[in-house]
Amino acid sequence: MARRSFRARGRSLAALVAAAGVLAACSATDPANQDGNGPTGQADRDAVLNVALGSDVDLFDPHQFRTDAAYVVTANVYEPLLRQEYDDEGGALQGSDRLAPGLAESWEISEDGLEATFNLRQDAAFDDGTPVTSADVKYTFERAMLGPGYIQALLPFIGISEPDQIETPDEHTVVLRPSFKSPLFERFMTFQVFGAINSKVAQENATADDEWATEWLSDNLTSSSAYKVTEVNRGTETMLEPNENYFGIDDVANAGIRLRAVPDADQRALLLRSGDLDVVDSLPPRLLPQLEEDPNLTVHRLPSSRITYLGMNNTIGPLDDPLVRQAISYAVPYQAIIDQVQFGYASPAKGPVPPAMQSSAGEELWPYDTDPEKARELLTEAGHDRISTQLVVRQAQPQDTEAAVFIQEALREVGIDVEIERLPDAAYFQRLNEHSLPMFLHDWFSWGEDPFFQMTFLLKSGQFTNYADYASPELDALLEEGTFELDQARRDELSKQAQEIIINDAPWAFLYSADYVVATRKEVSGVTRPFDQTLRFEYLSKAQ
Amino acid sequence: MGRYLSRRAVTTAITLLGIVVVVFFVVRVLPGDAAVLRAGPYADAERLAQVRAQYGLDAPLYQQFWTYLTGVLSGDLGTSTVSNRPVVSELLVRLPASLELGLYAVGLACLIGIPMGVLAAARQGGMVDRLVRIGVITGSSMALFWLGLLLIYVFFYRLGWFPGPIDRLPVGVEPPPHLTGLYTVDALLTGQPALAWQSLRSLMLPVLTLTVVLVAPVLKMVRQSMIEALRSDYVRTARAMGMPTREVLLRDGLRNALLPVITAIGIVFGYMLGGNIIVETLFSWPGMGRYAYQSIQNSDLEALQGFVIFVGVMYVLLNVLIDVLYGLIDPRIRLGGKASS
Repeated sequence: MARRSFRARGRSLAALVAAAGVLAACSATDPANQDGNGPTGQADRDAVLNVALGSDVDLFDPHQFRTDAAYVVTANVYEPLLRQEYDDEGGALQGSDRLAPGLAESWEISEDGLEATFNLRQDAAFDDGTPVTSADVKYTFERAMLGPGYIQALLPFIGISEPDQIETPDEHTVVLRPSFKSPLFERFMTFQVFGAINSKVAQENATADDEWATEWLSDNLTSSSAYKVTEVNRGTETMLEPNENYFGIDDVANAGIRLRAVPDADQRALLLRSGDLDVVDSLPPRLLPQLEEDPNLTVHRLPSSRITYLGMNNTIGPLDDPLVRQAISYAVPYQAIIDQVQFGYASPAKGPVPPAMQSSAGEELWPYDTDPEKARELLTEAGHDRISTQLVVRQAQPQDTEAAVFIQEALREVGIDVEIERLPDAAYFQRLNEHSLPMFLHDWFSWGEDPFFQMTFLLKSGQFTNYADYASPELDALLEEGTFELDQARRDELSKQAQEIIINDAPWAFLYSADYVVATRKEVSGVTRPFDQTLRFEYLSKAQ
Repeated sequence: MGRYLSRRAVTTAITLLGIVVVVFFVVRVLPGDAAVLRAGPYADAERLAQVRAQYGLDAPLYQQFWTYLTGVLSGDLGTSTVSNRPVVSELLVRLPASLELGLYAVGLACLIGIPMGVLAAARQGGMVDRLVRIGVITGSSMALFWLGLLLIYVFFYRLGWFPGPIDRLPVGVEPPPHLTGLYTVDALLTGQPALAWQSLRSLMLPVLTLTVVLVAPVLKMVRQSMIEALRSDYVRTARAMGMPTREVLLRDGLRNALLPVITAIGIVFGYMLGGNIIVETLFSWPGMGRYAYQSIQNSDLEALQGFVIFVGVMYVLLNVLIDVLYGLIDPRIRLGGKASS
């Protein structure tokens, strides 16, 4: 072989690679140069929307705990008895207290609240065409009560704990007999966890070891609502198409949803900007300002009652002393965290019942405006010169680490040395569950957004979700009374008293209430924020 | 060769058993309780105990190990606590994606690395040699995620030359029928060259990211061993006898230089199999690396064990393949039974 041919070979190889690159370029369109012209306004009912959420789908069993993405899928597949109505708030749909028919076309609750009769629609059907009957509704509630899953903890809140409290006098009537009248009863009936499962299909797929068809329902869905799942590619995409047998099919505003798994938040934002995605959520606040400036996008933002708090273990010294906890509450730089970690996409919580939740009294009861002097005073009064403790945060939430650093700095100024520890989710939640974390950052959202539900689960003594182990007999009494109180005015009054006790004892430092933010292309509308903060796809539409 | 293979089979089996034992016990040491994540925040102690029992997490350790070992021997790698599905099927579903990415990356790294390395060695101190040395340093010190982000920003977002980091095909494009699981191959086999091209375009950015890093060890290894081969007596003799340089280079030099290069490629391939986590997460690639990372986050022990064992098995098999290749290339090994340098 001659010298020249070898060199020539190398050159032709290089030319080939370059040519391939050029070919690739020629066959691409330039996504970065979309024009900023607005939509013509005509909704395209044939449009399929591409949605990417902050998590991957893990399993579809409606009664087991699962990822947010999986909750969104089941919310759009299983139809409960009642639905919420929405109010348009600046282009996004905020869920209201007004309830509308779901599977039940009409319902009646007796005066004493012990008998609730639901009349099911005659035209309600599953995706396989079989009608939705009262047997399916009863099966769903039984499975929630007796099957694998955590819903067993929720039903007693509305007085249902035995299967025989649910009666099916005929195919289209369901009667529930709660053991007490709960003000939350109707609201609970809108929760997706009570969405009707096709009992015949589920029972067909049950086995001797698995009487509630857990295995089958983890992978398969029987649709009673607007969408059915037509394709699942784990780690990639879940395809939802409208369920032709859905009674409200004419109102579904799109032709389907492609739910994509895009784990990296920056890439989600990028793909939204390039038009590959239409709807995106779970974006870290630092990305939002630039998305707001993009003329092709809309950042929908609605107030939410999600609460982020600095939990302090009330049984581990020196945090067991209310004075120390109050000192910490005065030292925390609330506004700095809201402005610089949340970029303004949050409001101060000022108590266990944040402003977006009814009966919120933080505005008048809250004393802890950042005041390092006062903090130092209280610490000295508690008999301490310098104390040290540990703050544990979730590695998977970078905002928590940032907030922790702000808190660490501020507390150091007043004589409290904080060591920050970041843990992967499994380790974090294990220790959280053991109630062994000294200080921790945690966020919580109560389905139904009821103040007594919230305060009971988080701060009532002995509750397993009371991770700070706060115990106040006075508070417990107020919460018990308020849970059953039916008069709204009296209820609000009790709530305020409860909040006052909590705020004064400072079991936590109440940081902020993050807004519900969903970013979409400009042509997309119909973003919903219901009681459970999961998108309802049927309202989403894309204009031409 | 036959006796050699049967001996290797025994040592391979022992190695694999060792992998299972070590992986099982190391994973159990990791902090985190899978049952807590599966059961969710509304689970009280009783419910948690139920979930633990469901996944066999409450049995004594030796019993868990025995159940696991017998399972592995019959091909059952356990059940994932995250998705309730068998780990084997979860891994097999994701394997083709990682494999396609890895094969192209390693292939491209070799396609660039071997000729360039040979050229660099042939003309030491020349232009190519200098470029290669810069390339080696750049590639070895490159941060994968930084490079990936840069490539996405420049070539997708700014220039629009490639599709977005949204998986193996653009949104809305149907994948080809499943034959091998490698989209480019399947598309060609089923007569859809346009789809193959689309799939290749989606591959290019993640492959490029990996290649830049993978090409460095290949370049270095090829160049080094080529230089050594060129200095050897037999090469000098051949040249002294008047044989054309190119022929000497390729016949005597390259063949002898290939041995350590094959080892390097094997190591690189093994690294790629397990270490794709960053690239897969960045490009939303539905592969095994991303699955492993999620398993760690969720303390999904069986999934994590399954992944490590899977990769361990692949690695061991790869090593056997390399040894066999050695034997084929180097007669000294075949005849003498002694491993080369």
